[in-house]
Amino acid sequence: MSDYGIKITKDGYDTSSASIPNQVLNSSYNSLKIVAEGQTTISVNGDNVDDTVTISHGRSNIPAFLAFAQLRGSSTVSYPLNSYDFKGVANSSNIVFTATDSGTAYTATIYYYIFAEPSR
Amino acid sequence: MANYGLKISKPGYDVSSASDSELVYSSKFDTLKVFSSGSGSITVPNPMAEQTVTITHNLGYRPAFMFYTQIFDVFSGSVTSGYYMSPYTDPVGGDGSIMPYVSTTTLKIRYGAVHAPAGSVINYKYFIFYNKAI
Repeated sequence: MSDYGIKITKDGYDTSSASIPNQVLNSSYNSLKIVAEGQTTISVNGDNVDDTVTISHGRSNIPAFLAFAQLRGSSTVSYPLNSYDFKGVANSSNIVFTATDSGTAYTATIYYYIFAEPSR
Repeated sequence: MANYGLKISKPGYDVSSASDSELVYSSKFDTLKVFSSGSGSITVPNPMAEQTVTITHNLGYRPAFMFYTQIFDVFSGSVTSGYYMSPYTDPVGGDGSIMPYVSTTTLKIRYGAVHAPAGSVINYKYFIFYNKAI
């Protein structure tokens, strides 16, 4: 760390000696800043054509993002992006989530995080 | 930003004018807060069979997570030294996928039956966040 800054350690760790993984915050290292988060749905209508939902992110870059979905009506487990039936892609304006339509109608529920950091 | 808070800019950037991505931290924005992290490994059985790793979190809701795993590289014929972010889906027939999913009590990772040869030792790493998944 440089001659000045802020360090916050986890409970039980000495700030003067704690390793990076044992710090909650260190101003020498970036953190993923969540600039937006929200919930949306994709109505999969069962016509064997993949369905999408578009989220306008309003960023000046192509942002990094993270998302999870409940698929095929399951309310007990959540799957991350690029699972069997759930994909996401970001461009300079939007994030487009796609749910695979295998012929059975259902509603995919998605929760997403958009970060200040660019994805590229 | 509101009239009060904490901002820390990256080296070389003026905190009074830095954009969001030029900040190390801003109390205006939430962050992914790590609840737990860890690592482990599986050994592919003989005969090969599907395996499920179970990591208990007991948060009472489905948390966001990140999971990284070594894979078997068919081109080199060995387990990779690097880690891939999962899910990992083998596009060439067979059940070679590595699929994580989370419930209100556990993070589970399903290693497909043919993702690596019998005897392969596959290491993995995970982060479970306080932030919710869905």
